[in-house]
Amino acid sequence: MSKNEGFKVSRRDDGNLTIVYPQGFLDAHTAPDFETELQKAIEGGRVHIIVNCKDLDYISSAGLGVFMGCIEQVRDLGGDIKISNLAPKVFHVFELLGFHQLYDLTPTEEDAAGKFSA
Amino acid sequence: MEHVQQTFKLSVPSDTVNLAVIRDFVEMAARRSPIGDGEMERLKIAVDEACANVIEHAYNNDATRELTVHVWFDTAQIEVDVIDSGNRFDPSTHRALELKDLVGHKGGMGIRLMRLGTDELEVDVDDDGHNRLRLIKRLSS
Repeated sequence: MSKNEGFKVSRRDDGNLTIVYPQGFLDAHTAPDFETELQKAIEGGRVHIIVNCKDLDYISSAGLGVFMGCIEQVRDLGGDIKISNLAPKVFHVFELLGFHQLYDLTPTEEDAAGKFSA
Repeated sequence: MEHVQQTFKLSVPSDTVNLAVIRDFVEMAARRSPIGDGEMERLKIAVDEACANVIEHAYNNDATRELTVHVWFDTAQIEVDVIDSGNRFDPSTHRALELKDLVGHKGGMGIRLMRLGTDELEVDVDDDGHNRLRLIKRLSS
């Protein structure tokens, strides 16, 4: 069995945007993989980040903590993290905790990209 | 009203890899009750958070220890007991901080999700001297 069966994360760079795609179940077991991918982007100077959650099936506080842990660093470097394509039940968790007050949550990746150029 | 009472029990090694197993177990058991989809999702997250706390705080990530989850329900409510024999951890003594106060921090949201997903949290010691966190979710009639 692979270390993190049930979760994968991939990344794509497009101009000055970096799009991160978490897939599956993001919990205390899998959050370190997600954090590593985000940190790799940030340390490479990629701070205009969209996290496209179209294939994210579940998130717990450990996954949410990854967003909270690095947002200050990203914004201090002049960037931002925008979150798109949340499935309704995952969106509900972000909303319950009030993430919409701190982050742009957009219906599509294109909407998130538009927020960076606005 | 039909009278239904059922109990389910799962014991797993205290390893975060088993959080997925626990979530599946809670869903499988609770689906036999009249719980709605939204309540189910919130309960599952609350149990996930409770178990992640046990693994991290009660057992200090020692995967050789054992974590037990009981799911019990009748027509009025679901109770989920999370049982461990590690360091005592009482979520009711931890203040749930506002999100804006957690910027720059990875932790602090688990307690909030436990409270949002349940109607009541009780902490006590069971008959065998183990720590027991009971998460209670009342079922909408």
